[in-house]
Amino acid sequence: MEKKKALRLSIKVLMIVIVVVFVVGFYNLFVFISGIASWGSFGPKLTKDESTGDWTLTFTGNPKNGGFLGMSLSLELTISDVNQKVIAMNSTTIQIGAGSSQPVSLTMKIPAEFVPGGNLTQAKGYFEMKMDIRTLGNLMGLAQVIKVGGGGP
Amino acid sequence: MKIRIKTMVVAALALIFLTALPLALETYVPSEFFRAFTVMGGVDLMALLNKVVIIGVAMAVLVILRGSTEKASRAGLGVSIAYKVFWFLVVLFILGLGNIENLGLAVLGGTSGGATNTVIFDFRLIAFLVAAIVALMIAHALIDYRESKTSRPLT
Repeated sequence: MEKKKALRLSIKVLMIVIVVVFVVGFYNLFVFISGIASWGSFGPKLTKDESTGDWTLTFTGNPKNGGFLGMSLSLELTISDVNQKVIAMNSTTIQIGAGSSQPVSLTMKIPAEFVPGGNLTQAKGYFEMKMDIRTLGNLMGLAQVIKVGGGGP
Repeated sequence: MKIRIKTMVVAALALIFLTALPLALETYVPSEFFRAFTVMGGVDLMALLNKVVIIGVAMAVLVILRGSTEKASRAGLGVSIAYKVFWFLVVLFILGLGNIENLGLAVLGGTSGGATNTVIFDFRLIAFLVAAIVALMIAHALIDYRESKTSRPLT
C-alpha cells in the first residue's frame, strides 16, 4: 500500500512540475522573443577595408531578458560560397541574467578573393544565421536557422 | 463480453472528433488552403490530419478494449500499459507538431524563394518528464495487478 501511495504522490508531483516547467519556460522564451524590437540595432553592419579589399561583417545587439529566469543566447554566422564551402564563420554564446541585458558582438572577415569585382552585393553564396535561445538551465528553448542567398553563374 | 455505455460514449467521441472531423475537413476544405498552410507554416497539414485520424481510431479501439477487459486479468494489464504508452505517444505527437520521432522537438518553417527559415522548439524536457510519469503509472498498474493476484496489499 505504501508503494502505491508513494507512486501516486510521485505522479501528482511530476504532473505539477510539468505544468510549472512548461508555463515558466514558455513565458520566459515568449518575453525574451517579444522584446527583440528593444534590443537596439540588432543587425549586421558591413564595412570594407579599402587597402586589402576584405569585407568585415559585424553583428551587434543588446538583447534584454525581461523574464524571471536566466537565458542563454547563442549566435552562429556562416558565409559559404555557391558550392557550400565555408568562407567565414564565427559564433558566440552569452548568458543574460533575469531582468538584465548583455551586449553581443560577432565579427567575420570575408577575404577579397571571395568577392569578385569587390562588390559584395553582387557576390554569389549563402549567408546563414543560427540563433539558439535557451532557458531553465539550457533544458528548454528554441532555435532559429535562417539561410539566404543563392548560387548559379 | 460486456461493454459499458460510458466506454461506448468515449469511443464514439474519439471517433467523431479525432477521426470523422479531420476526414470531413480534408473533404470540404479546399486543398489550396492546405498547400498554403504547408508552405507558410512549414507543417504538412494534410499529413497531420491523417495522423490525427489514426490516433482517433487507435484511441477508440483502446478505450473499447479497456472497457471490455477485466482489470485484474493479464489482458487487462496489457491493455492498461498499452493505453498509457499510447497517451505518451500522443504527448510526443503534440509536442513534436505531428512528428513523434522528434521526441519533443517541434520543427516549423521551410524554404521559400531560395531562403530557408526554420524554427525549432525544444520541449524534450517535458517529453522526458511525461515519460517518467508513464513509467510510474505502469509500475502502479503492475503493483495493482500483483495485489489482485495475491489478494493482499504489498507493503
